[in-house]
Amino acid sequence: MELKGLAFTTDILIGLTLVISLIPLFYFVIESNYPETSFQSLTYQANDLIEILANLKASSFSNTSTISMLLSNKIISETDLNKTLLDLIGTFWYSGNKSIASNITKEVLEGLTEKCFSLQTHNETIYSSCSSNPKTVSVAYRLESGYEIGKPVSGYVARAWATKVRKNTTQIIIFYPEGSGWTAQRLEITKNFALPTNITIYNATLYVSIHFGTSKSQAQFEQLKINDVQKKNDIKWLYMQEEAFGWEITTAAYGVVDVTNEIQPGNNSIYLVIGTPNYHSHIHPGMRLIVTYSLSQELSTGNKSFKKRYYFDNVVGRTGAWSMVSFYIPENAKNAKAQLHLKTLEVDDTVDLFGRNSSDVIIYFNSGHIFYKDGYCSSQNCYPSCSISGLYYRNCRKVGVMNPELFLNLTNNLTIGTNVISVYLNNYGDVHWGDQKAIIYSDPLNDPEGSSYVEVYYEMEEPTFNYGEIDITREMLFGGSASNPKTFNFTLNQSQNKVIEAFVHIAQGFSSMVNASINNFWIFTSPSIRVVPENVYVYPNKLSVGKNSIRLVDFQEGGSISGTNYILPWSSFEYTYLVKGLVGYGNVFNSSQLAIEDAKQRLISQMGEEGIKPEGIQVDSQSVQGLRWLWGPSLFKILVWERE
Amino acid sequence: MLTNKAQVVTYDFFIALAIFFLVMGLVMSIWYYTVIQAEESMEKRLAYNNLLSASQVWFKEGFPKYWDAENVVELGLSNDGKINETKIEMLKNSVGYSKASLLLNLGNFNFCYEVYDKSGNLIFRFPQNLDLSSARNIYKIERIGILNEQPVKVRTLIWN
Repeated sequence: MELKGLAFTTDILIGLTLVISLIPLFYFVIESNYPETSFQSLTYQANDLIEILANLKASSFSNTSTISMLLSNKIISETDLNKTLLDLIGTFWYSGNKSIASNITKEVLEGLTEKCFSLQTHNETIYSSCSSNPKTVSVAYRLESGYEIGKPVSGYVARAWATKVRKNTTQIIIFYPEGSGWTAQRLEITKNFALPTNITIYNATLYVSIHFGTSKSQAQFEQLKINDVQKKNDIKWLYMQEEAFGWEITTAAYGVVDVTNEIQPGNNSIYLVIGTPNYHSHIHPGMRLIVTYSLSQELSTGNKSFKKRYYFDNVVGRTGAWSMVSFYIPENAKNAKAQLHLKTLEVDDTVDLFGRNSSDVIIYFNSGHIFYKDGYCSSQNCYPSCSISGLYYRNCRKVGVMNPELFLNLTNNLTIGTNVISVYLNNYGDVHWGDQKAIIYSDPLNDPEGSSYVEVYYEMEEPTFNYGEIDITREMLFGGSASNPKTFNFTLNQSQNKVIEAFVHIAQGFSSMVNASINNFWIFTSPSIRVVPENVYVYPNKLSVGKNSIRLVDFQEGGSISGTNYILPWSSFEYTYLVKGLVGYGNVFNSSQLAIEDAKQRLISQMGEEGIKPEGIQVDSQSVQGLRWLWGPSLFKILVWERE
Repeated sequence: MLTNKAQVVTYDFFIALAIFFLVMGLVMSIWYYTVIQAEESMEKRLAYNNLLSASQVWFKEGFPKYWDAENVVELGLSNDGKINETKIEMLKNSVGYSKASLLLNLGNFNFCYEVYDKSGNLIFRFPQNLDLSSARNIYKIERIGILNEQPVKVRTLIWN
């Protein structure tokens, strides 16, 4: 029984302990009312501080160390002291001078309150008086914007834009890879082209890339006439690669000649005659004329629809003639269409041993498969079944001479990027037939409709350039040494950030097939052997400001990298970029005349950096009063919390 | 057996009675403390509200906007976000403590305003003489305002 009584007493004591332990809870319940008033006090402090910053002028603190230093260093003027403190802090903060903004805040607000505070904008802390983390924090907000240091708040601003400019630009006129059949005796190529008439030519350089006889006794380099001026002896040969396979001795040659004095504004003509007694004779990739000139241009908006003609060169081969024209469709083009007009002359009409009409006209387009043929093909390569003379000549029976003219729709086989169409007359690859010359006819200056050409049409969603934008074309040579593969690293600066068109000009001696990439992005692969175009389209959106690289690889049909087919250092990157021919509103001036003069000078300076001189300028001047600009509106907030 | 039972009952009874009185005493003490605390809390809340209201005088314009001692309806010492020096002079020289106290509607509370510059120097006090010797509870708030294009600390005190 005593034990039971003791147990009962212990229970009571435990219960009593629990009751007593609850007593402090009453205290906390009672005390819980006080944080509300404390928070209210913090709120008042936060509002007071933000009002101080928003209403007090900087002049009130002109004797503080930071502001007096800014004054003495002429970073701010007496006029800037009329800004509010928040305006001044925001101006420095958003112009990147964050430590100045922080120091001003510290010097203005420290000592005004014993509580912790922090000035913030866009989740960035301008200044915090305490490093402790607040448990309860009160916040006051203020939206602010401001104008740049040193600028008056009223006056005149002006903008200017060019209506007519004179620019220095580059135009590249390419020679397509083209030539005659095997053991061609004489190859004649004529390129007629037009330059703008209102230009002043500063420089014209012709790169010559040809395949002819040997570099020694058998070299047949007969003519290079620029507007009837003989220049063949002026060529400086930069690279020669002679190869011999038994009695087949042949040379790939790459040279350069200055033709500045011969090339003229308006119509021009280049006439080339070469030959080889025992090999192909043709133009290799990389033959091009580079003309640098100044041009007067009225400013306008770019087109949204484009119709371009890519004219063939006039090619006279013996026997056989061929040409490989490259053209491009930009990546965001719509409704792209293309057609080939081929006008040929004096093509031998032949039949094979079985009396079947041979294919004397063969066309390939973006593929290793024949796109068009005019006769019978007994094999994939369409060599006629005729008796063989020597290694490469097919002695087919000639039944006449024809002048076929073709209109072929290429639209269904078009591809975005580089397109290549190859035309062969009385020959293909290493085999040729016929006994006289064959001509791919083209004279775009005198007979544009009757000439051979590819006509391309496409539409763009946006014009390639807007009013006030000026297109400038430049070229960069790869440089370095001949190699395969070859990588070209180059840099585009900020002013060249809007490239609208770009090409790689491939310069090669011997070539097989080529693969091209830009910044590790594929842009072109030859569809079949010997389809190496002179130029390959580069997608502008794959270029970037800063470092870029182009990689070219010559490879064999089986995929292996060619051992002796080098990419030459005179390969180049051509790019067209836009330069702004307008400047926006600038500083505020006390007179309209000063503002206009400033706008003009800014325009002249901006375009001058790219070699553009405005010939006509239009200006627009506005008066401004109390205009707030350049930064903001930004939300500033003051956080206030109790010091721990 | 009966003797033993009676002893047990008596023993238990006294212990239980002692505990009963102890608990009752505790409950009564807590109840008393709670009531006192609640009253003090209400008093403090009222005082604090009065304090904030009195301090807000420095940041509002009052009515009329540019009042004088004759026409003032609502006391306010500020104009355009800054303390109006003329108004605080009028408060001290024309309005006087009694009328100000009436306009502030502080009830039994006394009040005092002090203005300090950024360095902590007293530049204004109203009323001029401050006697807190008889004050039972003193409530204080510090605000920050603009006077003569300089930031100042404005201290408001009320007490009963």
